Amino acid sequence: MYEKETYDVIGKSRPRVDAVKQVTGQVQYLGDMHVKDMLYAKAVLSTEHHARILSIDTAEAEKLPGVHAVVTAKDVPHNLIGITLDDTPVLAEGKVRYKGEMVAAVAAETYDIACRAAKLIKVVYERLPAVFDPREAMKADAPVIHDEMQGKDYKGNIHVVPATGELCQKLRHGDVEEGFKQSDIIIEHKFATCPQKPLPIENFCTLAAPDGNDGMTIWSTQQCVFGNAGHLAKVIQMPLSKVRVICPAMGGGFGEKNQLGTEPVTAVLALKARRPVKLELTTEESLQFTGTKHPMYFTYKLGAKKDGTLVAMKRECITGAGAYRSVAMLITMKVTYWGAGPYNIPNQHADCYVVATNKQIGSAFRGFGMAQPTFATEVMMDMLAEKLNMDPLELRKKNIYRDGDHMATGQAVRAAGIELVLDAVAAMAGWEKTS
Amino acid sequence: MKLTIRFKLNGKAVSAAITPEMTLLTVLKDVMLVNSVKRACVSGECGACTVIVDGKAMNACLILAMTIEDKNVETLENLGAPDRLHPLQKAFVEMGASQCGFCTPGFIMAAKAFLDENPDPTEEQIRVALSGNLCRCTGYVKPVKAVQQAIQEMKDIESGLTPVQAIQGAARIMQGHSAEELNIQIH
Repeated sequence: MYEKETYDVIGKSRPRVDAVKQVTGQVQYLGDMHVKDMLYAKAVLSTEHHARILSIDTAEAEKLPGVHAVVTAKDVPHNLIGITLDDTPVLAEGKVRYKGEMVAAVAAETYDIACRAAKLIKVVYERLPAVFDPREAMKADAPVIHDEMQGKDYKGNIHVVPATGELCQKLRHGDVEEGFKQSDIIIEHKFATCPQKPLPIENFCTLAAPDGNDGMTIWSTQQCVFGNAGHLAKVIQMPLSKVRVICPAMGGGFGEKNQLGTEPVTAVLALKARRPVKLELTTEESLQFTGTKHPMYFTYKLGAKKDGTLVAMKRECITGAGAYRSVAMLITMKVTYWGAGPYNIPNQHADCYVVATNKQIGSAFRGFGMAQPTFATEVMMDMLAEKLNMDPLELRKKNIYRDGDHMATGQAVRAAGIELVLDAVAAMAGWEKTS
Repeated sequence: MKLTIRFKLNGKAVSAAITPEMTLLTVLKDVMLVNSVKRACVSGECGACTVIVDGKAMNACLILAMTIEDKNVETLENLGAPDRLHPLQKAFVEMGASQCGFCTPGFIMAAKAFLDENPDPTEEQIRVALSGNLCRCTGYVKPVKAVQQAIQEMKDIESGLTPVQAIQGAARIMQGHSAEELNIQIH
């Protein structure tokens, strides 16, 4: 243990370095930025959950005085991008796969003109059956969302795992069926977690400015400026060295702004208009266009000895990815490998599916795949404690990782502070008194 | 159709060319280029655009610009500067009541208008007064504590304590910090 008093910073409250600027209103967020010759943009979002695009008529919008650029998929130099799979169009092409997907965008002298021009863009859809629940989407008769990517990347709506070519990510450790045979008590339960909206108060906003003829500076509400610079360079077909992505002060992100949002389309507008363009979404647009925490559906089976020693855990997870893959495979990888909690369980089995639905693209959001399975696993632990008539704290302390233990993946545990944390939390919560 | 409106912005007489459908938020943000006022929900839900109009805290996004003719509009720029912080601003810094800072101007303006009318409120009343302002990072415990600390400091100043004693008292009451520890500068 360390002595708190010997530290200058640890254990002490310190004001933020930018707090004085924040409380005097001097921080410049992207919405407060204005550059010379800047145009204002408005996006046209899909009004359909799942539909074929029969036509997009931009003629009226282009004629409106003050409009400098109207873009659709055909104006995007490289339209398909993605973090783990290039399945996400900058602007919808041929089909829309969720309500709120970007279909077109305009840049104009004022925000008001841009809004009027966006309304003049006529998109004709042919509505297709949509599916919203990933468990429904897995069924053989469900409408297929990515019909042109079947085989290597999708089987029906199920995402094929790139590394293995299988339909689910798997964890196998020990012999789970043998483990259940050795168990004195077995409990089974199903869990569902909801799609939560990160909803930072500041909406997605991007300001893209061409640098001469061959470069682009993109200011954006972006948590991952370096990671996404490459994707943006690809979209506008410029070398990475010519694309700068800058994030000024950000009004909250919570993971949602890790992914590309308004950046690609704004860069394409700036490329076409040859002027700086700013696209600031409204909250209403953000709610439709941007992601949610991935909803997950779990099936659990847990076996233990009478004394509380965990013996076997079998899990199935179905992740609703939304319309495109984005980070769903990475999120679900964490569910697969670490979703059983910080406990020694000698026999484990997990099958975790990623499934496309006609919903917004799932996004990182506080925990990146850990909140959902932790909820399910910890409720299982409480249920087990109740069945065993055992103190839930004692049950956990009996099974937690300690130094020298090995996780199901084989990783050795070092510097495990779990018991210290549990004891500290129990003391703060007055656990002794309540139990 | 263009109209010209005249009003007071932070004590100064100003005029702005507007169109009839413009809101006060559009005028402040896009015409007057006021930095502290934030555009977010544009539907009166989040309070990020809270300004004080003739002494009352209001959502600038819900006010038609035409209706502010001859009125007095105050934004956070009018409250204090880094070298002379208002007790509310100081308390928000000390309490860690801002994280990303985006909702902070709205919170402080809502609190300011409220305390001008109710200098000695209960915690419940403070919570009601700030209920129109949403924060997604910090939550509400620290902003409420910051308002309480500011009230204490304003009372201490009024009762004749030196600013140093007042701040020390306020800080001690709220969280057991000393002024030195918080690195508060007295002006």
